Amino acid sequence: MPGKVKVKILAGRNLPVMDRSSDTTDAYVEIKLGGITHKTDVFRKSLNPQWNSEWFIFEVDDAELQDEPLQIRLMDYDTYSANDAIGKVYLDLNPLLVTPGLSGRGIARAETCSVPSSGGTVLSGWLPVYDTMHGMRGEVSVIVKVELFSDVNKFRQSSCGVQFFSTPATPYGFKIQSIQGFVKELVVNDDPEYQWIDKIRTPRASNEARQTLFSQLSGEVRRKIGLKVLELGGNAVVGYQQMFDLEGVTGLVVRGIGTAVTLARCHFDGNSAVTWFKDQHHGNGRESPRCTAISPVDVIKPLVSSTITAPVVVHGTTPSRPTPCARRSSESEINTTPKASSLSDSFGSSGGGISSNCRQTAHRQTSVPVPPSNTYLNGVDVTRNLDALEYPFLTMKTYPPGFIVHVGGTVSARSVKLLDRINNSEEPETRDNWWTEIRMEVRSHARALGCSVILGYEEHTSISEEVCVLSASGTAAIVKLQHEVDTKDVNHGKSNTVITEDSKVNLPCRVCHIPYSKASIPFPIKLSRCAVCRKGKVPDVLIATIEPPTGMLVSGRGCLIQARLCRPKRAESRGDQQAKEISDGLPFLEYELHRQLINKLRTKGMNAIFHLKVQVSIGDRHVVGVATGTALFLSALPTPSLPKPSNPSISSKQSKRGRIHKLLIEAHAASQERYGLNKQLNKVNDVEEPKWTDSDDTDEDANDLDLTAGNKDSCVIEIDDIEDIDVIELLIDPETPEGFDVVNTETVPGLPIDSIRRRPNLQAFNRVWKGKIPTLQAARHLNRCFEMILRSIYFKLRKSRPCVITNLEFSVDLPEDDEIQITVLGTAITAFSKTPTEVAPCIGTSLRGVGSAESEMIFHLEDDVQSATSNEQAASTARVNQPNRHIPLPPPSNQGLLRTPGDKAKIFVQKERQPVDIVTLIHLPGSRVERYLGHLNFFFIRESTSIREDGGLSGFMQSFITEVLGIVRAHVSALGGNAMVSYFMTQCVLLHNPHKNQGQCLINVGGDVVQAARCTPEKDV
Amino acid sequence: MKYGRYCWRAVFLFPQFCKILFTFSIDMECSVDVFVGNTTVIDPEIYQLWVDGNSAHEAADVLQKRGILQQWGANMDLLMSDVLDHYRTFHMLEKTLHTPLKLTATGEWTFQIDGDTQQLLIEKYYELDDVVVREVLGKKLSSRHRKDLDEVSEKTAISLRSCRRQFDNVKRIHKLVEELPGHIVNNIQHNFLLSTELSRKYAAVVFIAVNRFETTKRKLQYLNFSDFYHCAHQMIEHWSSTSCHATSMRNQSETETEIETDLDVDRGFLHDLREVRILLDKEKELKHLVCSQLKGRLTDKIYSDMESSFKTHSRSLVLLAGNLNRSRELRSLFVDLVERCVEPLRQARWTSRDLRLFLDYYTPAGVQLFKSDSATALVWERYMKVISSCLVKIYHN
Repeated sequence: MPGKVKVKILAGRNLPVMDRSSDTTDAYVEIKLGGITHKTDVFRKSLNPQWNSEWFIFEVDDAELQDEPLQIRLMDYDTYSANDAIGKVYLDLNPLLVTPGLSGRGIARAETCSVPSSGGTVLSGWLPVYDTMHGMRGEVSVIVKVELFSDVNKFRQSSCGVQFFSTPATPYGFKIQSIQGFVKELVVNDDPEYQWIDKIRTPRASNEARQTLFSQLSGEVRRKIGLKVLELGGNAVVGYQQMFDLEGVTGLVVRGIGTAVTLARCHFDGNSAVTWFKDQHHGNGRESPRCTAISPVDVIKPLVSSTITAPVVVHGTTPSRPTPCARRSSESEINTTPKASSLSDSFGSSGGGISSNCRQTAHRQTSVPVPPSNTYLNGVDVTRNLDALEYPFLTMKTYPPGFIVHVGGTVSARSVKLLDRINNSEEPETRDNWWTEIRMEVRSHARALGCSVILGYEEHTSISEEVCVLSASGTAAIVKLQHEVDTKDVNHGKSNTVITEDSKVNLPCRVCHIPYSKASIPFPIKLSRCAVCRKGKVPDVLIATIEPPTGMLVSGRGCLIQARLCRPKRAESRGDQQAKEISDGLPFLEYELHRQLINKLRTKGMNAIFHLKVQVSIGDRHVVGVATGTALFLSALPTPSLPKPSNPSISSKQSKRGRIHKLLIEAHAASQERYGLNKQLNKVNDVEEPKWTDSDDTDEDANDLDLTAGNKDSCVIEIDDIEDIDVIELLIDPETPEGFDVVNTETVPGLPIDSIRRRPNLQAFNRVWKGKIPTLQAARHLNRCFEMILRSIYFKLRKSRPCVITNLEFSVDLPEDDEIQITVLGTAITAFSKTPTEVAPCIGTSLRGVGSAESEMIFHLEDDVQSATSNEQAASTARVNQPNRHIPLPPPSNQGLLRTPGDKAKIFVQKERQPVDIVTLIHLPGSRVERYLGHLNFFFIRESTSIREDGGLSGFMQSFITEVLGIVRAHVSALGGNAMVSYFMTQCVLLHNPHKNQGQCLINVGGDVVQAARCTPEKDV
Repeated sequence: MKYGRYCWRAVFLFPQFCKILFTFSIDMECSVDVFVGNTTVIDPEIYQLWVDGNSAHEAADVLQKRGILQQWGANMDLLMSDVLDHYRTFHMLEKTLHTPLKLTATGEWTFQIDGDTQQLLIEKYYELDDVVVREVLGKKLSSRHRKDLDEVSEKTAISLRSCRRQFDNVKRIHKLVEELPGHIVNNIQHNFLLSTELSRKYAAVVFIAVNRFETTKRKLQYLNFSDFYHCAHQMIEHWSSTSCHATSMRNQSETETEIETDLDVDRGFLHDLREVRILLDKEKELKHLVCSQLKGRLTDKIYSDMESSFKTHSRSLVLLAGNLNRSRELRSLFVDLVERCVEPLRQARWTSRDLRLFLDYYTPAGVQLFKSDSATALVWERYMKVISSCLVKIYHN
């Protein structure tokens, strides 16, 4: 079925001079979609041409619409010679194909979400013109409209209307009605860079061929996944990850994985979410009618709630009236092809059941603000459903409260493969089989842990020459998808057990309890009683790849933890031999990584790691493993003991051992102080306890905590040789400077969000570092590299303290013999607010307002003590026990300098363009996501033959990344958004040929375009 | 160094020692070391150092001397990496700064910078050092002179890079504004988004350049930029075609066809100024008028000098006016003022107060003598307003 694309080219600006003799350009535009090309007239002798063209219309198949990017190419007309290319704009049309209902463009039509409406969506704005050889070259103003005709054909090839989110959580404003499960797709192609034709074409042509192909493949993968989703009865993919494996000669693999779900728009906007949250404080007062029934996986998470309290979902007591939500969910059930593999949730079909539920919750609500939606677990049903699924994988990292019942632990599988030529690209069986194998393995690991599903599932590859390491990892867990309806029936006559089980189920510590029975543990593990409820069994350390579940009891604050390891590899071995060598070495690498991680964790005095990401990179001479996670102290788990060095061999080293021990103790103490752990015992009693006591019988148990703490096993580190000393040295991380909180999770566990919420300044940053690793002491050097990179980030952000760095993501590449490239991606949230706009209204209203605003902005900056008090909220809760005074605040000179330039000139500065925020997070601190406008995925290649003149490789990279971010912002803005969430950079391949003064870089970036509204302070505080 | 190799790590553990931090240098070779934020990070301090023409190493040295390492607990490598990062950003920004409009709302997507910082970037980049401008003033803005900037740099003790930047800025603004109609200060403000103060500086430089005033003669060396700045703005305000003084009637048709700009001195006005020569014939009356007024207000010594050399003083002013319509005379206005007025008076040891008093009474006296011809009286007043103000300003050592 066709769709109609209409394109209008309005104008260009700041185009480069293409005709040296006249210092102008004769520009025209070629618009290409699939096989059709249209052209505008030539606009002579101008760097700011005004074409104001007619509407160019493309009638294309919608499958093509999904695969093909719209290519807008600017050309310079030459009478006598061939026309020169100025640059290109690639437009992904997918965001325009999204159903209005889902995207929220028309909330009123949300009911019709499965039918694409023909209303059409528009993209318009100035888009940067990009050339692979010259970078950004001016901008072009375009309008693109897409009109889709609804397709009812069962055998269609397109999947328009399935929305993709790279957000690994439930998108804001939506709720998941049912989860269809894991979807994946893999497409294989030849890499144009390695085709014979590349020998005769220009670098530009080659780069553009590659960019176009990447764009097409990316579209194709998404279309195919979309088809699967439709087949399963879903309407969206969340936690979508797309990877490019650049295998070189053997080709190019594009992989996509995600979780197919049925999303429905929530029927209240952000405002009501806030009021609804307030309602909760009023207890069972006025019920909001729209909230009466909500599916188990609820979505609206007011920003405030995520760490402190879990929102109560079920409110009222009158479920008799079928609510819109309920109706729709049943509708979706009808639509769903009754496949055995669908994990659809059967919520809301029986009124009686709900009423019984609600009674329960209402009772509980008075006492515990725990997620009550997680009512009853029907283990039988869940397991049956999950077993039926081929891959019980979910790619999301954050789950609604109550969804996770138990976390088993991290499971991962790796496999080393030798790349071979893909003969038949239509049937990429080998690659598919590889992944199938590895997924099966991960699944079996999870089963061994007694878990049925894998959360936060991820897949990665690392390629060096012809060897490829595939890794898959996730968190084994038991979840509750089923919102058990007929509790009465199930638990008939066993009401006693129901209640006990019920209270147990709702304990905040429940998530930490082991999901397997003690007898059937497949490996030796130290178990102890849960320190909170004294009932469940908990492991001594919990490691997971997901975000810390909401409502978990955390003492102190979390911090970044990282283990790095580098193993040498013989460079001369090739092929099979090399693969074998790597394969043999991997278990040792993993073991060492794990050991380092655990020891570091103990040194920090913490007992859990979340959002763990282990990356194994192979290079010519080295294999590098980096594990990054966020360490925290879970109240439920036992207090870890400090590693003890032992040196049985030589007595002369006795003193040294003592020193090491002392160092460890000092590090431990420092960490306790820093992250507020030493107060944890008191805290549990004083702070946390009042919140939970009423409901749980933990009162007496909590006092026994000391006993638990005394239950120590000692971890002994043997020091036999110099290497081991190094190992210990590596255990002690340099202190994070005051004023910084660094984690790789969404938020800092244990840090109240409020402290960073006052008009936060968001900054997604890319840090690329490339250097040499010496062959000697590579591990030590690697460690230094990472520390240096971290410190340089702190130093860079020194003036915006206090600062929270979240979602820090490291990726390591070993491109050349002895080179290492480390790419860091993260989001810095700084509370630094200079808000002239906010001061202005104050002047009119009240004098006091002026005074306070001004003093906050100017005078307090100089005065540490006062500013500390003004930030009392930040200081009071989490950092009570640390000297706040040490934080050097941004020097006032900064402000002064900003203000000095003549004020008069400001008159001429036009209204500021709305800035586009980019964050790697799934939410925008300080703002509320209003609607999602589509998923963007860009592929850029930049080549230069004048690296030295461009300011070296650093200069080249810096300008490239700057431009890429600029283009991303332009596209976000053209789609009508003002921010991008879940920003990612999955590829950053840098090739350099110093002799030819040439360099090439390839970047894959993307994220979800959203429109967000700044939270006004009054509304949210 | 009790702990030997562990020493530097131990230091890390204690925040209170953070300030000492290690000087342990990491000999890490790196080929790429960049940090790119979504919002372009600008450090005003480093930016100022860049604008002042310091190299990255110099800037790092300066910052180190200011104690930044101690303040933030860093080592030289980190500082260097950070400075280089900023310098690369500035380098990229520089192209955009040549056309500041591109930086703002209607501009390109490349950089995301908030309004205040944009303003800071532009303002600092276009900052002028009076000493440097004084050297550039009156010279042709050609590449030949650009090469001579090292002499300027030597003389003014301002780095060559900064001199070049200022030279190029002047040249750029000059080139763009030269042809634009309307008020020059406004034009500069609109096109370069500079503050009024800075725009006025550039306006003065451009005005002097466009009218090719002689400013480099030895005798004029004692004048600094603020003198010229003052004089140029006096002329822009009172003598230019767009100045508030209505153009004389007989030239109206002419001015209408021309594009109005305050860069040009009003030709009609200069033409009319020739009429002022009548005063030469009425010298006796003029002297009488002035002397009667000034008697008792000046010290006896100055008064007697004024009385005796009134003819010379008056003649030089009147003749200057009469000849201004010749472009050569206009160009050498400053030379003439210094040679014919400032120097003789200085020899007679007039103070600037004396001069002001004299001029205060001299101008109305002239007006009084023109009572039959009000048009010429106006012209005289318009002429003397600027001349008096300029003379007083440049009458110093």
